[in-house]
Amino acid sequence: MLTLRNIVTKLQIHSKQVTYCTKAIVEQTSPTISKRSYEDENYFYQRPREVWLENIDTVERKKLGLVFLHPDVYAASPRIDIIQENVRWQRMYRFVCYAHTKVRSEVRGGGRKPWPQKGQGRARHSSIRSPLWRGGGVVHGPRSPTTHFYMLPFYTRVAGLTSTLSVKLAQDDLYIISDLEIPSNEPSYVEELIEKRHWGPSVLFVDTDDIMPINITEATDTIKHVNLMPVYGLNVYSMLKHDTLVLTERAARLIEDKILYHLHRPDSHKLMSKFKLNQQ
Amino acid sequence: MAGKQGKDLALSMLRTLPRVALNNIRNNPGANKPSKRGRGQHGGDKHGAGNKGSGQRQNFMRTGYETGNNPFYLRFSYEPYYKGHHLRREYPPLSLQQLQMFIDTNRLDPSKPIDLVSIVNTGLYDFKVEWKHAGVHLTDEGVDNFEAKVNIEVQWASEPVIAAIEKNGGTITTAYYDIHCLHVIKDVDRFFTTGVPIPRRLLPPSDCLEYYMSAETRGYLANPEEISCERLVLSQKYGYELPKIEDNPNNEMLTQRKDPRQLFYGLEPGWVVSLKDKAILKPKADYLKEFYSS
Amino acid sequence: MAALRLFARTRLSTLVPYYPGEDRLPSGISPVIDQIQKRWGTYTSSPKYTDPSEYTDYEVTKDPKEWEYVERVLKSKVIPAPCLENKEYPSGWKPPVAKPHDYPYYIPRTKNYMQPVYLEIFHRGLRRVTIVRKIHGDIWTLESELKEYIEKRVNRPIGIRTNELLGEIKFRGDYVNLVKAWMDERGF
Repeated sequence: MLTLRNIVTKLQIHSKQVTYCTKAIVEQTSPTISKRSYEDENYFYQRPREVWLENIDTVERKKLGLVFLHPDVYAASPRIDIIQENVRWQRMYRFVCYAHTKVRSEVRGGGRKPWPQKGQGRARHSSIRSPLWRGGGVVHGPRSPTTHFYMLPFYTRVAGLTSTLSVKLAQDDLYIISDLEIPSNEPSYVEELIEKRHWGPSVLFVDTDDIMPINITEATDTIKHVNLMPVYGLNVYSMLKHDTLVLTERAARLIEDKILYHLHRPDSHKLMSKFKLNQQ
Repeated sequence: MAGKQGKDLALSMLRTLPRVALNNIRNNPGANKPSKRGRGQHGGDKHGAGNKGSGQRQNFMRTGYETGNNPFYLRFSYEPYYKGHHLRREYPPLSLQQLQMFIDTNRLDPSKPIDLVSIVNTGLYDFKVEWKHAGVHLTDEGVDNFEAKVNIEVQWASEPVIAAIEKNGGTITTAYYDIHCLHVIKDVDRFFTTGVPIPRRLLPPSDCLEYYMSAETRGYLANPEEISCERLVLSQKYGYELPKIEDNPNNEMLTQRKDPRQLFYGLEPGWVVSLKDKAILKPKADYLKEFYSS
Repeated sequence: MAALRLFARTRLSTLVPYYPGEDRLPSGISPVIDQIQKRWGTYTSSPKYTDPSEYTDYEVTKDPKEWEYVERVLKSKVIPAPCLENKEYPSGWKPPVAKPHDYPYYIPRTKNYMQPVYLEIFHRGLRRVTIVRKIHGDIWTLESELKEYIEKRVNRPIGIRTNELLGEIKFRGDYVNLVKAWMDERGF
């Protein structure tokens, strides 16, 4: 049984025969096989992930080729607990709780001793705003503003990214396109495209630069659930919030490069130390 | 052959499971332990404050007070345990076994001189200047298996270590780096981005000056003739034939030494390195040149 | 280019502290100045680079030989690959020999080309756990093989915890050298 790879390599070799036999894709040039050689490719137990390279020029899906991706990034262990930790961190590190209760000294009144210490036959009290009293101060209540900043360890965050990318790819929610050039700047084009290709209602497009082609920017501007993002903004929360993740080929490669750099850097010892602010 | 295992099995399982989203993820059981208030028999009741007295009434006596007698903290007028501790240096160890491992796994290049900068740049050895660390102490663990021929510069080395290195045809020097230079060495990439000229090394302080001036410990301030004499002495003591450096094709590399004021090989103090322009800025003024080379 | 800090040493910038309440000395008598040397911390607080004549003269060189020395001193971004020749190394390090699909399981090396076997010590030395990480493939056969190997040499049963998703096995006890020896036999 011929595997997909054999078919594609045969296509490359016998391209003339292909153009004769398959008139439907006469205009299409030979498929682009994007394959990289990695330093540790002899030590792969898992096979590199093969993803279709698609187009976005037409509403209809055209396969332009194959992209082979590194398994350590796109086939990593799907650690749901690490994904949850990352999501929680993203939510909490900038969260400020503004809930506030008054302490007995802050509650209005309560400076005078309500009745003398002895002789009344009543319980002894020194202030009407003590926590025992109705209307009195709260003892260990929330004090505004309370920050919940903390830093998740560096490699937990890297693992979060690899886990989420692997989960997206495994669940068929990751697509790779050649570039973000679309023919029209109408939002309807993008909506039609998403509908036709059965991409989830919410889509996240990721490219390397933060300045994207004008058409896609204008088209997705009014649609709230379709968003554009540069690679440096990629995060676990956004990837899970959007149903489908669409990467351009160069974005997929840049993500791969960056994550592999962090997984194989010689000075990782510094990154594994406890996070401190004002650390030089 | 078994089917999919481990990661691949998990990823293929996910294909049949619902889409992983923000509303169906959770952490491992036991990861979040909510803090519990003390209630009842355990943690509650008197909340660890005991019965009556200043403890329960939160009106404690001052710290160290011993109800009237001469307290411990006032009994002794002089406790010089840490006197001068800020001047005492520590040398985090690096064993010969580790050094051999670095060379075998290609982390250190024995064809170039090895010094503190190259050891730190492997990323496998670290020191903290704030803990008064002053460099590498080459220990004798793995002295029997050491077979590398290197030109190495450390901060502290004992006799068997020196013997082991020289037996294999290498050279060893002990050199001193002051605190400012150590800060530079810790992160050289960062130092070059600051635009500060390369500092000149200061001479060792009086407590270790003798160490760095004696030939027995191969100090960098010692007389080279005395050193070659000591090499012979060690070879006779430890019973090996002293390999002649002159015959060695790597002679130039093995005899390469830094000037006592020099921090990096090939770069003089006073120079400013610009990484962005890939250029070196050198001062022209005479007084500066004199200062940096003095 | 960033402002150079090659200030002429003779002209230290000084701050003359003026304490309110103290009368200024009458002119003609030079005050005793407590010199406070000023150091600039940030770009915004530092003075801008003015006329080059105020600073000491310097020359710019782009000698490739000198730049080689600079490159030598910088850190490399990649961990250098070791020589993978299967010979005896003096330190006892062995290169990975086994291919990924030689056995039903596979244990690749760490990024530093070391074997992923670690010892964790808890409770002040009372509890030691040997961890084997990065296991791919059939972890259960590996577990049974390792269990047999260690128990035979140690003559007592061993507690084992296997996590298939992580690819991790934990042995209760300090068997790091035994596990590494087993891995050396296989070529991992």
